[in-house]
Amino acid sequence: MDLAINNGKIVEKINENKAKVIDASGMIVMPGGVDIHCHIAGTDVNTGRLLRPEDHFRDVEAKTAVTRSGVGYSIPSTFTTGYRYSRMGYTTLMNPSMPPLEARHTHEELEDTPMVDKATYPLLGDWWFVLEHLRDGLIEECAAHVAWIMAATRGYAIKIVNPGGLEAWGFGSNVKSLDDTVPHFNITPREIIRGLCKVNKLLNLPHTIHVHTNNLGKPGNYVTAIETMKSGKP
Amino acid sequence: MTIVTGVTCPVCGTFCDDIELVVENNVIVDVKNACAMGAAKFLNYATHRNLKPLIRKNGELIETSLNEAVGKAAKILADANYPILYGWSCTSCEAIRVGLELAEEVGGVIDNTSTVCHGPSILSVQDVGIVSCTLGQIRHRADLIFYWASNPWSAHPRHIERYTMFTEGRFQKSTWKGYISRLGGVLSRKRLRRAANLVLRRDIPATPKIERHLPYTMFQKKRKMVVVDTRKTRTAEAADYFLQIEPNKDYELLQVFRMLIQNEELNVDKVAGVPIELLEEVADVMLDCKLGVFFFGLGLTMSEGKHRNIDTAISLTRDLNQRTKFLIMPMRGHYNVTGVNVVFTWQTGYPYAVDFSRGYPRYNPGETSVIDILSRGESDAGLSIASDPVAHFPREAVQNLVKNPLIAIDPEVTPTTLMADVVIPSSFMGIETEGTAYRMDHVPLPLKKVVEPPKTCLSDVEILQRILSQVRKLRRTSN
Amino acid sequence: MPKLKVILLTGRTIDQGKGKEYGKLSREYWESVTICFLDPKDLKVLEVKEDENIKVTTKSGSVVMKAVKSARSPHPKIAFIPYGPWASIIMNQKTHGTGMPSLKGISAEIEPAPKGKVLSLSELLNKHYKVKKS
Repeated sequence: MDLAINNGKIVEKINENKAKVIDASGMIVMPGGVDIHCHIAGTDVNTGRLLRPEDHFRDVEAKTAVTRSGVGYSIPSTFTTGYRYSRMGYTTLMNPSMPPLEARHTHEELEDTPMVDKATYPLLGDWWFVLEHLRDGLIEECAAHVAWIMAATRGYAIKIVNPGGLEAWGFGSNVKSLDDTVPHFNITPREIIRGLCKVNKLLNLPHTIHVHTNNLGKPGNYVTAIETMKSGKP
Repeated sequence: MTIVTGVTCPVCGTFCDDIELVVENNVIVDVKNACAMGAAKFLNYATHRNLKPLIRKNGELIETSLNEAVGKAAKILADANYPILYGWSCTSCEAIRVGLELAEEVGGVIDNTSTVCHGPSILSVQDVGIVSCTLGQIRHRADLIFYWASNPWSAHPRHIERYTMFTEGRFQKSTWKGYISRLGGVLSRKRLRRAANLVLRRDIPATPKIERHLPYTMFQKKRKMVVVDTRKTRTAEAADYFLQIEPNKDYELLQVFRMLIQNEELNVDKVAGVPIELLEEVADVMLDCKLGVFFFGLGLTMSEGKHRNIDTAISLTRDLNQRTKFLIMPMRGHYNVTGVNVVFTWQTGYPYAVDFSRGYPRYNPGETSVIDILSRGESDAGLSIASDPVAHFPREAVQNLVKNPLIAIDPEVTPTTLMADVVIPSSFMGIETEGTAYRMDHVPLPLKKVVEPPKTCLSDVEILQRILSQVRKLRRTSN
Repeated sequence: MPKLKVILLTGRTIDQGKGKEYGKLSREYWESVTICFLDPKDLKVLEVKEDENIKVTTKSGSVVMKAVKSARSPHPKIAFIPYGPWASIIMNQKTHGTGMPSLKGISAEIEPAPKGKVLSLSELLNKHYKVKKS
């Protein structure tokens, strides 16, 4: 079986006279895995690495002539992350949660994650500029701001986590449903999700909004999940 | 003449990023917005610097070429059985990443200044976790600020004006005006007392500061500051409450606060030298706030109890979160010490005291930390970079450090470079070289290059890369 | 000669902070780290005036410094010395298994040192750390 590749994509056929031929007989050729949501880099992940150092003691990778050393459990160090994902057949990893203020940290860690392709999504569901623009109905201004954030933080997609709830957490409270008002901002989680959905369409980003719903970890939150999915309908 | 704006100051963990510099003919001639330490650095950094690499021959340090110095440094590290690579806090994350690769290559122990600073804080976080935030959250939201065993006036001079009491936030106002009027009152009382002393020719004791006798609810909701310290520092003079604590008694006082906020009654008059009524009042203030924060300093990490003190402080913060919103943050001193912990953790899983002698990272502070290794006399070579261990380590540790071959990479002449066997001069990060560094709240910021370094002073990154490549050559030829 | 038992604290001062940026060989640095702040009442007990020399001794060693009247009093029997090579001579290197040496809250004894001299940086390095190496 032959594979035709044109401009980095697999296609039906190409002009074989003008193509570079790679002889892969006797080798296994398989699609690289794409993990669209793996927490591998950034301040939150690194805090996880710091806690419970005793976990690392039971899973170590020694240095070799071609690889760096590292540790596993519960959160592997960066070199180990790249090697282990590669051994499993992954070629692309998406780090789904990057606080925009600390984007530099996420990228520094991604740089130290070898072999795989990587991208990351900035957290925008509680970003003050986004909340204020959406509260005032200024979708285009919001889109302009989000476009700037994508460029400034080298982000790939819009990430939303517990919309409105992260802001409420600033003073120790939370939101319980899609229609609760976020304190001090006069906006609801539903409006945040819908607003950023419209922004995503305007900017034609390569990925949909990536949402972690409200009521994280609460039993019975399948109701919130279903409501959130419905909230994106036009 | 050029004016460079938005410069980040490379001195302490406060990381003021609003510094303006006036540069003329590659010399910084004026500084705006910096504190005394920042201004001292920007205007005087080049006064006592090494310009040429040095090597010790017959007991004296003499000038040499960079190649010879790098070669000698590489040989020292490659030949050693258990070298220590120490410092790292005043250089960029980019350099630290090369440093880790070098330590792994030579199978040594790599440690940073947290080992004599906030190492115990990290140990506590690993035990009980931490509830923290970035400094912007404090600036915007906090209405109760604690400085516990910390004196920002001396060590982080602009911390209060940028992040806590004297700054305007989205939800909180600055208390600058109130402080000025209170200070005016204090100064005029001092002047009157001095005048009275001169007239009456005897010591008139200072009248004790008028303690709050009105219930706290009578005061307008403004930011409040509480300072806990063994001496009445200038920070304490600006505080709404000052608790003068006996040395080595922080653990008791923190545990007492944990009891008081649970409404437990205590059968004592004083704890750690502080009257119980004052403690009860401060406990009420803690419970009544919208968002409070504990900033703590080395008084907790260095006195008796060490990491157990911080363990208790974090536990108190956690207890307070059942009733209100409370956060805790260590006041980091050297500007990129947080960055060192962050980089070490992502590459090795461990924040400091990392031992590569078995080919993989190992971590056990008390055993793999540099002071203990030196106390036991186990290391046989040392590399010091971006730090000054000869000045700041206890004497016996220094004696064991200098009796073995010592390499020093530093832009300045320091006690460590004076005692080293190889000295390689580097450029100043944040002034002559750009790089990334992390603020005390682990926000990464870029440091700018403002002037050109001397041609003989390479960046830490380049020097380390040269040593690493030379070490690899030596290993290949010996294998 | 009168002697005084104190608790010794080491720490930062703004002058030491500035001094280290001027450079560790500078006069400003030397003046900022060779001093010991004492409560004025403790100075009276020791019969020492401000700017006279005192000797500070701990289990780890002793060093001669200049006495300075503390503006942060009252703090009886608490002495404060800024971080630096002089403070390091008397600090305790024991870490009690934590990695962190005891740099604050150390027991110390202070006595007047009228004939003592505060060493310069090179004299201090020579006295305590001089090692013959090739």
